[in-house]
Amino acid sequence: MAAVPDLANKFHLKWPIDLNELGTLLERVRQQRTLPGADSTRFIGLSEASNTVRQLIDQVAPSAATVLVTGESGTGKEVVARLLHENSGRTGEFVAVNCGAIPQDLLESELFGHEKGAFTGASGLRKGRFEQAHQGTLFLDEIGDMPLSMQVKLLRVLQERVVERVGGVRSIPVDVRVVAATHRDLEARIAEQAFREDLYYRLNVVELNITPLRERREDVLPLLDEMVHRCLRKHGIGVSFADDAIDALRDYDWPGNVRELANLVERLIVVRPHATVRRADLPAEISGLDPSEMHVAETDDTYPLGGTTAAVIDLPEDGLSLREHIESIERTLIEEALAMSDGVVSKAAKLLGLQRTTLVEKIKRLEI
Amino acid sequence: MLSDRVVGFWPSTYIRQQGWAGMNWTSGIGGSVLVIDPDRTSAETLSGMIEFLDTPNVTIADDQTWPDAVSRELEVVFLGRGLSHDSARDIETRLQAEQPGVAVVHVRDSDGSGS
Repeated sequence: MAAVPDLANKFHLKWPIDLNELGTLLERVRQQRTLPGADSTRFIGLSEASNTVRQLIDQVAPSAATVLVTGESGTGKEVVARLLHENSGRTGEFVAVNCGAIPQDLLESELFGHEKGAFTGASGLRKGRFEQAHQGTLFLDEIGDMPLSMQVKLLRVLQERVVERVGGVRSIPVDVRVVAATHRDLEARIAEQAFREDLYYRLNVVELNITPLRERREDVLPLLDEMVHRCLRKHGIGVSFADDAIDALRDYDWPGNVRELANLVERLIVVRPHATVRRADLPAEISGLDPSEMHVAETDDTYPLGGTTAAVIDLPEDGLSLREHIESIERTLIEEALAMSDGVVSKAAKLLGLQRTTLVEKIKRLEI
Repeated sequence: MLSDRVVGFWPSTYIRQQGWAGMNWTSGIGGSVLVIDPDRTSAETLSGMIEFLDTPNVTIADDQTWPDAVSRELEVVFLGRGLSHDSARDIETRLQAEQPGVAVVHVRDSDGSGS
């Protein structure tokens, strides 16, 4: 008998067919076949505010104008920056730097690079982010947290379009489109003398403000749809939502904005894979229910979000990535522990029965 | 019964049902889907469910008519539970040669029998 050749996309389905399983399978087929474009960046939303953002991106992207993206944390400022780059026609890379996450003494070298021997540990030449983004876009996130001493140097680069590596004497021309973002009120920072007014005006050629999610509730469902599909692409696992859950999600204020919504879907994928999520399955702050009204493992497929997280799933017939799944569970539990301990790592480590250093390592590895 | 199961399925389905139509959501399969099964009832049941899930271009073939049916461009081929192992292998061989990117779904009975 001739061997059956292996087809690239082979799936199995059990008869009698469950409509949910068939839907999941069709979704997986569709996602696999559209994979190249599946993760392309989009600014999702039905609201007028989202339409305005998309229109501004279309208008501004092709120009070389510096853009200041403002909005609360988690609203999607980096998504906007990426879209500006993707629609700019610029041939270089999109390079992102979080100015608030890099220690002050390293930021200069990070942005402008350094020559060999410039300082202890500079064993070789290193190009900075500006050079890496040559002919592309440099996204300076959390610009409001940039130290004043660096603001002067950044202003000079924006004015003169040249960089000097740390320890170097040569001026290197750079063709970089800068997109900066902040959740802070920069005018208030200027009043506090924590931000340079001249840099503010240099960055704020075009301002693009992203409205918080609570002020564009009509965007919640389209975003939820996108998050579920993203999880399907990533893990091959989906969840569905009952009417009462959808109502609760739409009514919630989302202080963490789109990021909070994405995290919620990731958690639901872990604790209620392939299930229909009801209002009582949502965290209390979203459902608005008393703890007594929430589900406490009443059936074998019900797992409370706020309680003990059971990571039991049915193994899909086509398998899954165990490593990715375990990482997803780790991420969920660590995020819950951090939330329960108000971000105090040592307390979270205690809740998880880990050494603090082990938890710090995991937080870094999982980029939490 | 089907609609009961579908309410609250993927949010996009829900949104469409609630009149949020007109947005650029994609779901289901846009290309051609072929169900091959000599058991006509099984084939029609399956194709009806596929169509229900926003996949309009579904056709049916059996173990005699499949060579013609697979000659056009397909996105997904369902090999029904009524197909013999040999027929399923022949179809896969042909698809591998002519449309290697096609997705193939084997439908099996719960006890493991079928294509």
